[in-house]
Amino acid sequence: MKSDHDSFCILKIFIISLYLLLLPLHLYASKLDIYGYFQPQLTGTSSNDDFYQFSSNKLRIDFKCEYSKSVTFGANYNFIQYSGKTQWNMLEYIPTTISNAVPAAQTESYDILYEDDIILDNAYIKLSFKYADITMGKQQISLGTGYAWNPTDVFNYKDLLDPAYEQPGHNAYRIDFPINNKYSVLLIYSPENTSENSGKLISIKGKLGHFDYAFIGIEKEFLFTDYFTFDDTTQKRKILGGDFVGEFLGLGVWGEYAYNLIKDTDDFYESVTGIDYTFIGGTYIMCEYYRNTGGKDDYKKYDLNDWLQFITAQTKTISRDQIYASLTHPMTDLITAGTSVITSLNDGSLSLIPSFTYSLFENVDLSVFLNFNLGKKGTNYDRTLGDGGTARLQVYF
Amino acid sequence: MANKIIFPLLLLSLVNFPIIKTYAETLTSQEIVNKMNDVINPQTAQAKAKITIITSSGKERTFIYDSFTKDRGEKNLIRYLEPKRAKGQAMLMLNNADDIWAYFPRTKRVRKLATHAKRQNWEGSDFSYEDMGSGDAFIDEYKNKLLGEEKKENYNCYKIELEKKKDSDAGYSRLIMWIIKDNFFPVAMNYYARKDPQFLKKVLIQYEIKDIDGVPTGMKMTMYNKTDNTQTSMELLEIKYNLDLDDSIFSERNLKK
Repeated sequence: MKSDHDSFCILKIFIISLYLLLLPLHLYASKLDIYGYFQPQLTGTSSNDDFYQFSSNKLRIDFKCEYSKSVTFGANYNFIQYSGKTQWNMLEYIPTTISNAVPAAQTESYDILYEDDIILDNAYIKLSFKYADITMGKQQISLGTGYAWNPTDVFNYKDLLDPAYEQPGHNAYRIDFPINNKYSVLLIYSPENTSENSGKLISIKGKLGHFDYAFIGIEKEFLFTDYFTFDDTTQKRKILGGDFVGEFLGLGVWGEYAYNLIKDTDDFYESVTGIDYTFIGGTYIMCEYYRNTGGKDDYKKYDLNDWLQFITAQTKTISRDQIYASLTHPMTDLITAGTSVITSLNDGSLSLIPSFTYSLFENVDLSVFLNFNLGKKGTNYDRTLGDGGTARLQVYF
Repeated sequence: MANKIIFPLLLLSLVNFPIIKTYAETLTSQEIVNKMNDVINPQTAQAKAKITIITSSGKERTFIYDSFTKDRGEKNLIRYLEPKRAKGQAMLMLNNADDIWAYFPRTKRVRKLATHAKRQNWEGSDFSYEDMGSGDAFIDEYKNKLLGEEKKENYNCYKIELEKKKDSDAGYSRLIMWIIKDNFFPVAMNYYARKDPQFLKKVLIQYEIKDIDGVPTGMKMTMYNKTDNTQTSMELLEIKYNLDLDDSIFSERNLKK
């Protein structure tokens, strides 16, 4: 945890930043919109016969100011405070067949510490011209049509317990060119220390019948940690892919594909195919198949790096082929219950995620997610990895 | 995929064309339904509406949204203003809602939805999209029959039965409509369960039908859910007709604004 002095400094910097941020906006007070939410969250997890609790309080404050029809400023700060078990050892959450190989003296190196934080999550300005929208600054970027996985989204890593949760902002320059009602072009430049290792993206989007589709080309560097030596390396990838979404025989269908070309290493591809349907009465089902040839097809080949790079969101998967299936039903006008299942087709393991959402009051939602791992030892969803649950309240203002 | 779906054509039943002159008493049921269909599908409209949901436990939920409609409901855009948790969510529907895109500001994501998403209730309300007869649904999905004339909500009305066509995917087995004789406005409607034509599921009543700028307009309406004992009311806060709405309003670019 940070010392009181550190916390005070952060608070001081924040207040000054906030003042500087709000000063020009104050001039446009009549057009300034301030909103956000408060989100207390409690997580419990069982591991090796122990039960731990971890809670967080997140306050998100959004600012949006429309100077004119052509100029929009948006930003948000996240204040996050953690309590309970804030220090975790990643080795406790991987199969013992792998973690036991780490010398006892080194286990502390695998600790993760959750520290209170104040983050300028987004801060961008959007300029709208007749033939283009230009967005500059830290901004959310959402790519692809998949629900649980997005092969073409090189900016974000989704949490499979809650794939629809908001993603953080990324520093980028974005230009959207709407060519006509059918076609548009998207350009993104995500600056790093040199132009060579900066992220570049071009996407051409179109419509065909009742389908939307896009072709995409990306160049981006990815950071990987070798968890045997703790050396960081970067890997530059060129990615070619595309996506589609539409309707076929009354079913919603979507797909996404990305071929990753990597210098000096084997290429691999990711693909997603999904379908969904809503029954009369509101029951909703969806199913998505994900293939990542960078993953392994035999769980006996999973190693320390596979596990820890996955846990730290440096890779999207451990096993090669997975299915995400979900069913939700509106139990009453305010309560929705559902269950999701994630299964690895390679090792036969699965994770069960029952969920429940309740609109407690106007602008107050309660969500509960449970998580049960049911796979055999050493597999992607090894039952010894522990079970858990999260209760989350969101109060919007 | 989105769980929270919004359905703009709720507005359309509140929006009408200029009063239609009184017709001879000899209209067929098909002619009456056609004229009613014209009434609930204006050329263009822009409105702000408020939805109030009374749940089975007596709780109240309120939504306010802006709505834009063009080409007799062929193009629709709706954007939430309240409640805070839904603010900025928007939905674009083109080709009489055969193409639907939803925008979620929390994730900055635009998602194309399949048409089955119309079966989801609107933010827990008692309305679903198809309740309001999107586009020409009352003509295309149902065959009609004139049951007679009846007084309803103090209006002299045609009483029309709409029965689901065999090949239709409509969510109800039949509907009973009371259509005001003077202006062909549907003042009331009964919805019967898809699998049981005798089981009354919902009742819609429209109130405060006013003539605004020469246009008869239902300023309020309530859907009573007979199964769940809940109700949803809708009120028009602002309404404008026959505006010159640019096609760019009904675009994915505008959806994200």
